[in-house]
Amino acid sequence: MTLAHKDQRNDYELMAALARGDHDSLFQLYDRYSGVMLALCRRVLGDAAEAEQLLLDVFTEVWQRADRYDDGRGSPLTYLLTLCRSRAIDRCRSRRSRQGKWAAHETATDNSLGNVPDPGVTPSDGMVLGEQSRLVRQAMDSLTEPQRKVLELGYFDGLSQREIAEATGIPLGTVKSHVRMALIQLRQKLRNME
Amino acid sequence: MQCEEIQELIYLEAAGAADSAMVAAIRAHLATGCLACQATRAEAMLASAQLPLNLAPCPPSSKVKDELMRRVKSVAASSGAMSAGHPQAPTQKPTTGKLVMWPLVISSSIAAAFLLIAVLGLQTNQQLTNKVIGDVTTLHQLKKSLAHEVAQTNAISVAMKNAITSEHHKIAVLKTELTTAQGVEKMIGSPAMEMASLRGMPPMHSAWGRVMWNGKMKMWKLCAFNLPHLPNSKTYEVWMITAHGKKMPAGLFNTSSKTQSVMMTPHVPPNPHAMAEIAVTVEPAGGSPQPTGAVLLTGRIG
Ligand SMILES: [Zn+2]
Repeated sequence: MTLAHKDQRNDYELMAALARGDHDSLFQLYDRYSGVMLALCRRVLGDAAEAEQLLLDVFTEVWQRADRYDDGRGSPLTYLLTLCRSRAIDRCRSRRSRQGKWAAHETATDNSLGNVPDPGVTPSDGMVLGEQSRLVRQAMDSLTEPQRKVLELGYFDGLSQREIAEATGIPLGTVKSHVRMALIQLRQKLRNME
Repeated sequence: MQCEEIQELIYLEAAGAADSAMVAAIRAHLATGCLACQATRAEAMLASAQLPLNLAPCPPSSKVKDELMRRVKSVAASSGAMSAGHPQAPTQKPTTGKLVMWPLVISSSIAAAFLLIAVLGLQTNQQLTNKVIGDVTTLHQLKKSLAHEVAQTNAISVAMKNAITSEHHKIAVLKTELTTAQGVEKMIGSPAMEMASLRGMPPMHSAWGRVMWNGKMKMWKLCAFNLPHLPNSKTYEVWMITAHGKKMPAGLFNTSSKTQSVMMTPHVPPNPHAMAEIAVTVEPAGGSPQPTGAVLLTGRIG
């Protein structure tokens, strides 16, 4: 696997070059982060083919609207993941409204804690993201089971506070405090990562 | 709504669990310029954005990258340049030069070829005419591909000029940083160096800092951490405060948007020995003659 090392530019430099119309930067970012972005698309959409289509659309959007990235609001990776999640949730919601709300919702919550890739899938960009992923995994492990669950139902399944309460049987106010505590704890553990 | 309630909503928003009314309430509150809630939101968003890194990466199939390449190339080619897809991409203006002249040469060749066809047509030599039509088509294709190359070469030259300018800028920044670093090294290495801690005041509990000074060298440095980057309409202002409570403006700064930290040189009043305390507030852009905002960082230096 050819990795980021063939291009020594950091992510900020790549985004800046991309905004100037440099194609290579787009493919560098693609090589670095398409693996984790696809994992995110699959986790939200639950469909491998649709996830690849979305990944393609997201990178096309990043290419066409590179000028929208603002480094004051987070790292390029944060931007890519946030954009990816937002587009995936939008797609999931429109599908849900087509199919009837709860059918898709139940599928989503069934594997809400699943972070296991398909059998036969080898993590690709481990060298780039290995250390960051390890820290995130450690931080996630430090959360309580209900804290992790409410976070994942909101973030990956796009459920509102009320829907999370209904899906888990956890009272509304407790959902709120779990989310708050979980994010504060994650931020403290990951403070040096950005 | 109070900051505490807004912050509860901010955490829900970061986790993707806020509804549109909650998001609207957050936006309205942040629009009032509340720094504490802005900082909370930035932190919460950064935390939730890391969640996908808990997933095992799945490499996409090669057709995704192939299709992306096709899309990128077709946008670049269809716009005759990259400028259509990219508002900031360099505009393609053919300039005079060797490559640019080629299409003109080829255009004249094509005209000559058409003339030849006319002559040959008169002679009704169908076979020869077909051959020349074939050649004309080839010339057309050559012209197209050369025009494309010209556009690409021009784009590369603009991109290279941009890159050189940006490198010059980086060198200038590095020179300044080096001079600063050398000064700080001298100051720290001297036995006359003194230091005090600055602590964050509510709501900036997580902010902190250090102030270092060297009386002999008359050098001061202030470092601050975990202070949110301010919009252009505002600035952080440093205050030197005497034992009698007289506050003297000692400089303005903003933190880096990436690190939320800064190292700056305060302007020290002529009688630094009389100073007992140093403080930081937020003021309107340009600073204030006397503090108007709440104290966010403070420390004793007397
Ligand atoms: Zn507030």
